[in-house]
Amino acid sequence: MDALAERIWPAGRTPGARDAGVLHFIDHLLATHYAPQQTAFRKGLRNLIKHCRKRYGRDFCRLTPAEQDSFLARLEAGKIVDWPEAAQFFEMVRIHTIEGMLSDPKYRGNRDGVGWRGLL
Amino acid sequence: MERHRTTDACVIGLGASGGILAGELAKEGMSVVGLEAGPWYQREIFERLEESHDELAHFRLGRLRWNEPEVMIYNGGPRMVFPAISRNLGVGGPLHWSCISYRFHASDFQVKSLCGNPEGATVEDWPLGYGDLEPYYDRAEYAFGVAGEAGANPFEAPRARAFPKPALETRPAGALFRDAAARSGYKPFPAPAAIATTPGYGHSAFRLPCNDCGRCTFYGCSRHAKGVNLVVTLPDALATGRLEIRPGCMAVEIAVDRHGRAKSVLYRDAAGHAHEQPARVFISCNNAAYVAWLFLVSKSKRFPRGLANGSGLVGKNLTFHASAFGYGTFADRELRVGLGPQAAVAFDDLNEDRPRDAYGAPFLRGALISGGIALPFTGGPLAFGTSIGTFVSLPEGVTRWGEGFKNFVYRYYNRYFAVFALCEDLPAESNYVALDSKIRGRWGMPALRIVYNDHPNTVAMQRFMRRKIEDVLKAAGARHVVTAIPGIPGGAAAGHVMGTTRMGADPARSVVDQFGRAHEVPNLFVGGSGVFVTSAGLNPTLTILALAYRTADRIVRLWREGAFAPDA
Repeated sequence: MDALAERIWPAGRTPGARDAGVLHFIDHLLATHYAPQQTAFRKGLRNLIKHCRKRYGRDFCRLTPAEQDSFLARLEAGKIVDWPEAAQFFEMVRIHTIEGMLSDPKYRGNRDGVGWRGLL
Repeated sequence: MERHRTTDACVIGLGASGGILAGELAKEGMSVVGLEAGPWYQREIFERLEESHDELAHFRLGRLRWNEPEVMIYNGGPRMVFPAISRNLGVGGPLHWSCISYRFHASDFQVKSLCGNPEGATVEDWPLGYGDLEPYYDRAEYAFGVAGEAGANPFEAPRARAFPKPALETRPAGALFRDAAARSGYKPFPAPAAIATTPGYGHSAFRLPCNDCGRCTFYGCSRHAKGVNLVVTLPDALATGRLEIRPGCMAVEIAVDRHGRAKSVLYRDAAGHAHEQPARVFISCNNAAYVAWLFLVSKSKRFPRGLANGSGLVGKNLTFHASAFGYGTFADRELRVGLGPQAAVAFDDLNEDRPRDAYGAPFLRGALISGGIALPFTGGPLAFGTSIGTFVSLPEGVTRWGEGFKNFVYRYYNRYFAVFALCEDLPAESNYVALDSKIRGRWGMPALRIVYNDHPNTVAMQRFMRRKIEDVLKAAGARHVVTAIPGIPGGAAAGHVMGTTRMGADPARSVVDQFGRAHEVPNLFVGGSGVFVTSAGLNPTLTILALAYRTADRIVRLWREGAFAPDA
């Protein structure tokens, strides 16, 4: 999840999802306000792991960033065989990553406001 | 079941209309019980900036919005289950409104006479005219403190006096839009809004002028600059000692006696306990869609099709407003559109019948065009970042994630503005709200079902307005220009719900009279935009407020004449 979020909002000249703690945001929200999404999330993660290993023979975290991006583009386009909800899962993670970058730090993302720094 | 003592008036819903009705009736000497399904936020809670500026809580999680599932079937598509209408929640609303406050034009009350009724629509004239409502528009503007510049809109209806507050200052994005609109031959003006621009206001001395924080739509105001009943009406009303407010209380039925008069409201409190509140007169103000819902669930021997539904029109003639919108980016200008109210600049040139008469457009009626505003009609980077690439495209070549997306958000959040067309929507009986047969909501009650199809007139208007928006953004010198027609009715997302208990003189063709009194139930009234006959191409709330003051006057007069006495 951490690696996935980092591809959606990567570190560059400004901090990325890992720096901002998006993983902690998603964890916290899934335990609270987004609890109804827990099942879909777990199912999506399991599918991500399974289909990634099937395609590359390696775990998502062991792919190069370019390979990760290529794989995620397939999710976004719904082009993964035997995983019809791939695009939905990707969109859920994409939105939560943006939320984790730009919401108030009290929700455990956007650590110390680093997500807002690039807006100045 | 807890049965309460009889009160003179029971108001269901304490938002835009309910807040006024509960307050005015109490001030005029009636005992009032006000029921509100949402919480009763004390105004001090919004003064805490970490509360009032929290984008996740307000924009994403809908803190001030009704979040129960609703079923929408739009243009014959699949059943969509989500909170489809942006319904205000909370005592003393409309808390989350943008405060944009327009009087309708005279023609907006007479569309049938002026334009006829196209096939598939149910256009009628209103049973009242602009002249009947003018004094009440004045009263609402002065009570809520609407800021505007009289005469700046050459198409506005005649006014007896000026706005009570000077117009909001035009900020950089608004100025850019204004100048482009003027060069394009339109007549732009500062959009009137119920937002304090000068300090202190009548009894609400604690209302401070707007500080441009940009958190209007969807948010409570940290300065109490936004005109809402919480700060306008309720303080004085509560001081009378005649108003009792019960938050967290959702009406589930209006019961009638054997004569067909309303006798009590059955409701559930936050813990789920059942209550009965008898009253002499009832005013249902719980959002246009949910007034119809409440009447439909209130079936009885006397009203087998639902309360006050002899016409069969309860829930029907649902109108939302359609929309088209767009945004433009300006790489070299610090516009900071996320700061400042979402009332910026507008032009009315493409409204009423000017598109057909002056531009040869192939449709009836028109739209208000507003610009210099943030996307999605509220400020904040989170709202912007989760909207762009979701319900409106990013510019070509910009991806929806990754380095390119991040850089676009960072670069352009302070260097863009949006333009919105609010299109008059024609009523049709085939557009309606009803009770869903499958999904259950709070307290096991049937969820709201919404069936809505765009009329061809609407589709033609949206396409026309989209092109006009594109033209204005280009005239402003935008680098990227992206326009869209939304995937669900724009007015549904904006919380503009109209027509579901339409007013009229003929009980066979309407649900309530011009004062909102149900034709078949003499002690039952309706507040809110469900009574609208047609939608106009203008924001509905000032008209809701004006009608509420008029209905309050009527109820008080009838009450004093003994119309609601037990033996009447």
